[in-house]
Formats: sequence, structure tokens, C-alpha cells
Amino acid sequence: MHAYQGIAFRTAYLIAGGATEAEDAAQEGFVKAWRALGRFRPGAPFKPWLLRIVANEAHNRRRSAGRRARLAFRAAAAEPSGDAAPSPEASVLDSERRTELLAAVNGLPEDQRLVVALRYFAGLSEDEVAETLGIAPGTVKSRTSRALERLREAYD
Amino acid sequence: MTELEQALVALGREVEFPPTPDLAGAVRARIDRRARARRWLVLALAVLVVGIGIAMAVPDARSAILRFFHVGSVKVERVDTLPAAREAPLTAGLGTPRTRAEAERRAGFRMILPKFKGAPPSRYYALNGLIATVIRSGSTPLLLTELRGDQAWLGKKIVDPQTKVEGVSVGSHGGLFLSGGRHVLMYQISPSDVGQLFPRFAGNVLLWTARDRTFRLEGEVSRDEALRLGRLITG
Repeated sequence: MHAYQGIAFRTAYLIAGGATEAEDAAQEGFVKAWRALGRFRPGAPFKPWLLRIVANEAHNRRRSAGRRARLAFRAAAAEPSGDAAPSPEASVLDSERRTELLAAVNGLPEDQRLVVALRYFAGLSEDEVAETLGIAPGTVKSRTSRALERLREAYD
Repeated sequence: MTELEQALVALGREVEFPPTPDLAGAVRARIDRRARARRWLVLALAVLVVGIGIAMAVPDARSAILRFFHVGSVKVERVDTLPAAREAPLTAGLGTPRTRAEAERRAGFRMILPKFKGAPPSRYYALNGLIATVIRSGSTPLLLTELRGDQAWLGKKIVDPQTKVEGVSVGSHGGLFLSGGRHVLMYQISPSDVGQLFPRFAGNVLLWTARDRTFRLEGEVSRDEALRLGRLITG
């Protein structure tokens, strides 16, 4: 359980839009997964199966709360120290461009924003995103493609 | 991966996520709370069954009542159709045998064992929060497993309708004895990979809780012999 609680919580947060709702959704997801273990197909990948359950719980809480996560930078990331050497990742983007890019991600339609956030921020594969959101892998591809098209305008 | 995708991955590392709360305790509490609620429901159902007449449908009522059990870290679930499983040795899926000291280090606690007339077991198996060894009743091998109480979901037994599930007392401790029919044991193969559940058919099983632990004794053993051994272990 410890191995999956981080990704479960982040997934729930991206969908539900708030830390409280995400914690509740992740907890309930684990409980439901435990109760459904008998239906889990041995040998099948566990992570997307679990995340699908957590995502469903998160969707329910988001619907009731009527909100979406507005992603922001960590404090340290927003104000990088002038002394610190830039990390390889940080060097990819300068401050202004990453601010614009994050704003563009936040401005995506919800279905595209979720796919992008799960794929690139939470580090799920395309298949895992598909299973987690209960959509076809082809839909993940097309949503990703449309989202990248929009984001490219902000990035270029 | 395109430059834009690389930029998104880099961006993801700088995005603020609330710190991940420790979910294990809360999840365990929810499971326990529901188990307690279920036990009350079971009691209410039992009273109802008595009230409307035992003769009416005792087998059906029993079947409904015995749908779920929680014994410490183990859940017992009765289903009509068992999941796919295979016959396998008692220690299958528990990893490599270790010395007792190594296993206890890995499990994170010391194992409680009965006093042995001869030499104690030399092979032990451990996961985080779980330690097991094979003891003998005469010449019959039995798998003794101990699970630390704070493990929310280490084990799960799934039993078919023919499996008999009885409430028993192991000394002053409560437990269950499962016998007959077919039942399947599933557990985490390692704490870092909950997904690798190892399903195998299990023999008769005594489950009980004592001293904040869940004990499990499995093998071709009678109920009385299992209870005797259980009392030797936890008093």
C-alpha cells in the first residue's frame, strides 16, 4: 500500500481538485480495492486497476465539490535561488516560459488537462492513463495530441 | 519524446502537489469500522433468523451471514466461484528461506514460537510485516505465519460455499477455523508490489489474533490439533 499511496493521492488530487477530497478519495479507493481483491485478475497490472478505483472515487468527489485542481508551482520552484545551479530539468525551461506553459495546461479543457497531467506530471504511461480514466488508449492519444497542439502555441 | 513533452515532464517536477498523507492508518480504520459494522449486521441478521424460525432456511441464512470475516490482518470472503489458483507448496511465494534472525529483521518484529521438543525450525520466510516458518505436528508440516497488526491488508482468503468456517477460541483469543471445500490464499508478494498477488489453494487453516498480531496456521491438521498448537503459541 505504501508503494502506491503517493501516485493514488496525486491522481485523486488532479481529478478531485482539493487535498481533502483527494485524501478521502484515495482512502476510499484503497478500501474498495481491498474489498474487490477477489475480482482482481492475478498477473494483471495492479497499479492501473487500483488507480481506476481511486479515480472513480475522485470523480464523485469532484462532481460534488464542483471544482478542479488549479496547478501551481512549488514555492521553491517559483523563486529559484540565484546561487543554485540549475537542474537539467530546470534548464529546459526558463521561468517565463514555464509559467506560460503551466497556465496553458490549466487552461486546457478538463478532459485534455487530465490526460496531460496524468501522463506528464504523474508519470503514467498511455495505457495506464487509459485504464485509470476508463477510456480507450486511442482516446488518450487523440486527447494528448489535441492538448499538445494547444500547448505548443504557448510554448513556441 | 518531443521538446514540448520533455518540458512538460520537467514542469511536472516543479508543480505543487499537497504532501501525500499517510493513508495506511486511515484505510485500516475504515476497514475495521466497516468490519465492526458488518459484525453488528451479522448479529442482527442472526437474531432475525432466530426470530423468524430456524427451520425456515438455516443453510441460506448461514451462507448470507458468513459472507465476510475479518481476523486481524486477514480477510475471509465467501464466494460462489473461486479465483484462478494452483496447488503449490506451503511456502510458495514467500521468497527465499532465511535464518530466524534475518527473517525477523526483514519482518520488523520477533516471531512467537511454541517450545519445541527437538530442534526448532531452521528456515524462516519474511516480508515486511509478515514472518512464517514450517512447524510439524507429528510428521505433518504446518505453515505458521504471523502478521503484524498494523498491516492493513496482507492476506485474503477466499472460500467456496463448501468450506466450513467456524468461530473458535484459541485460549482466551478469538479466531476462525476453515476446513473442507476449497479455499484460496492471496497475499502481497512484497510490500513494494501489492500487485503480485500469489493465489494458491490452501489446506485447513486456523486464524486468530493475539498481542496485536494475526496468527495463521495452515496444513492438513484437525481443528483440535490446530487449537492445541495455537494455545501453545499464544497461550
